[in-house]
Formats: sequence, C-alpha cells, structure tokens
Amino acid sequence: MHPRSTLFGIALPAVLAAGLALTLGGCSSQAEAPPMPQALGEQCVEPTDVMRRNHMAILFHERDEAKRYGRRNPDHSFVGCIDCHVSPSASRDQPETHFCMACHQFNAVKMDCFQCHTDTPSDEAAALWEAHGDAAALDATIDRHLAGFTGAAQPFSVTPFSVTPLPATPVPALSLPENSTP
Amino acid sequence: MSTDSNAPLSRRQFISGAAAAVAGLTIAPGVFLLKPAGAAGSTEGPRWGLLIDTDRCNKGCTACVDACHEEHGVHSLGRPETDAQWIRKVELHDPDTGHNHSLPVMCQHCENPPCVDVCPTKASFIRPDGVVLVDKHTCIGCRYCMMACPYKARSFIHEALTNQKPHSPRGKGTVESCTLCVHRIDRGDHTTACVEACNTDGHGAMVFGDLNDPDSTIAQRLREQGSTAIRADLRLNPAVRYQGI
Repeated sequence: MHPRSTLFGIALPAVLAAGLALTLGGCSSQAEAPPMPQALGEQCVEPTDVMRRNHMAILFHERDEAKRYGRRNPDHSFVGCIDCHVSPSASRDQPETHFCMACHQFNAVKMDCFQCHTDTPSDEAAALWEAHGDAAALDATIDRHLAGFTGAAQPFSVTPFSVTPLPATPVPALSLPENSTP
Repeated sequence: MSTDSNAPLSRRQFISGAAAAVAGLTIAPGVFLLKPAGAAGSTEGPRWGLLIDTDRCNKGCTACVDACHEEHGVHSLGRPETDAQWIRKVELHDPDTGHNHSLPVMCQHCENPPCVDVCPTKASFIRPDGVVLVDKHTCIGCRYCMMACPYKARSFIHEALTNQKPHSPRGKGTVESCTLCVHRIDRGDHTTACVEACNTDGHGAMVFGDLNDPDSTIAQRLREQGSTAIRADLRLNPAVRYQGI
C-alpha cells in the first residue's frame, strides 16, 4: 500500500470525527421555538408530540384513501386542521399569525398544500372563531360542526395509521474502508 | 339440384341463426360477445349519475352553471379563452324543423373513461362509485385527458388561484372538471349543487341518484322512460343521461 494512502486512511477519519465533535458541541444551546397561534378547540385529534412529528405522514397516508375511495376520516381531515388551527384573520404573508406557516418558516419547510387548498377556515368554522369568546356555546357549536361529518355515505374503514416513535438515532460511527483513498 | 339450393340456405342459416347463438356465448373466460341482459347496474355498490330532461331545460337559464361555479369557487378571470368551465349550456338548433334544445353538458362520468386511459400518471381516475376525478396531487398538467375527452368536459387552470373553497381544492397547472359534488356524496347529501339549483331556481330538469339502486327515482325513470347518452356510439356508458334529444 502506498504510504500516502495509509496516512489519509488514518488522518481523514480523525479530522472528520474532530469536526463532528466541534459541530455537535456548538449545538448545545437549543433554539427557541416560534410562538404558535392558539387553536380554536382545546384538544387536538392526536397528542401534541405525535402531531408535531407525524402530521405530514398522517395527512399523506390518508390522502389517497379520501381522494380515491371517498373514505374520509373526519379526525384527520385537512380541512379540519385548518378550521381549528387557522384564524380567519390569519395571513400566510404574516407567518406569525398563521399556524402552519409559523412553524414551517421556522423549520425552513416549503410545502405546496396551499397552492390548491385554501389556507383559511371554512365559513362554518369562521363563525365559530367569531364566537370564540363564549366557551360553553363554543363547545356546543363544535359538537354540531363535527356531527355534520358523521353522515358519510361510506363509513371510514382505513387501516389505522400507527404512530411509531422514531428510534433515537445514535451518531453513526465514522468508518471508512481500509483502502479508501480520498 | 336440391343440394345446390340448400347450400346458400344453410349458409344463411349459419350467418343468421348460428351467429346469433354464438353471440351470447363466452369467447374466452370472462369475455362475452354480448353483454348478458341485466348486467347493466348489477355491480356492487352505488353508481352515481344524473338524468337531464332537455324538454324542461330552458334556453337562457343558467341556474345549474351558476350554482356549480359558486359551490366550487370557479370564477371568471376575465379571459374567456382560458376560464374554467365545469358545466356549459349547449344550444342545439334543428334547421329542418326549427326545434331548439338547450342542455347542460358537464363531465359525463363514463364507465369506461378515455381520460383515465390516457393519463400518464394515473391522476385521472374513476372511483368505485363511478365518479371520475382528477387527483391533483399527481396531475402534471399534460392535458392528454382534455384531448381524449369527447365531451370537452375538462378545463386547465392557467393562473395561480387564491380563496379556493375548503371542499374544492383547485390550483394552477392541473386539470379539473365536474366532481359530481363528491364532497356532498361523501357527506351523505343525495344531491348536487346543480340539481339543487335546477329544482329551486330552474325548471326541475335534473335528477341525481344511484343508477344501481332499482328503487331510486333516477333508475325508475331510466327504466320506464328511457334515455339517451351523448355519443353513445363510443360505448363509454356515461352516468349522465339525457331525455328529449
């Protein structure tokens, strides 16, 4: 073996490992999460940590079921998300007012849902937002609103979406093939 | 002599009699020369459709068109060449008799839709209940389906849109057409925006219903009164049927 490649074989992983350690060391202080606008309802359809991590998978998983077979899950409807989370006065041009945009902008996520889907609540939900002040009346109207979705012609029978928590991914050990050259 | 005179007879018998006997037979497993009687409407589950009585539909009345476009947020952008049209009123004039017809034409929700055949991304599809739709998540805007559709039922969105209706997402670069108010079907409403408007503001010319349910109004009327499919020669078996043309 050429002595130069042996030198690289030892030196390169060492340099990379040192760089990684420096990078991770610099990440010790967490960035502050963006302030999220308050939702209309009190309880989300799934636990908050599940929604934070998996909302896109839930929407994607059940999208084809709803679109192609008309099997709609009222709990996981896109319109339902918007109705509850986005105030009628919110604007995507002011991300701090719009629930989706507030977090997507913070995380540098660019998605194109809103090129076709509306980014403001339906008329029924907008009326609920207007009545936001009276909590008791609000609960009753939310129930009525949700009850409107239950008369589906085809009952919802999708394989339930199972939320598997992502395993804690350890930092992969750096290993290069012995004879590797840069 | 007798054999000579019998020969053409037997040939004729073969052509008229025997061919008719063959017609009902299976030519391959699952392939029939003729559809067995009663096969139409025998599939499981509903198949939604429309029946339009053109004798009742009035020239100049656009109640169905207006209601459809209001329901789905379809607005004119001031450029008629590219504005989306989900329903069009078609005026027919017979020069020999002077008789006039006026009828709404929308996506005919074919059983064998050419738009589905040609779609390269399978974005154009037919639901199990017979509604033909565009999945805009996978539509690439190639517009093959628009060329394939013999009814000219589909529109392409040329410009970025805002303020869409929550139940009717529409966006630039995709093809769209009548959805048979699929959001209402899934909600359990047994009507569409156009039929509702025709009954309240129009002249009661349209009926919506399940073609596969023998007790539904639409199936009864089709059975008793008959109907016409536009371009029936194409054998697409549309779910939108007309009377009086």
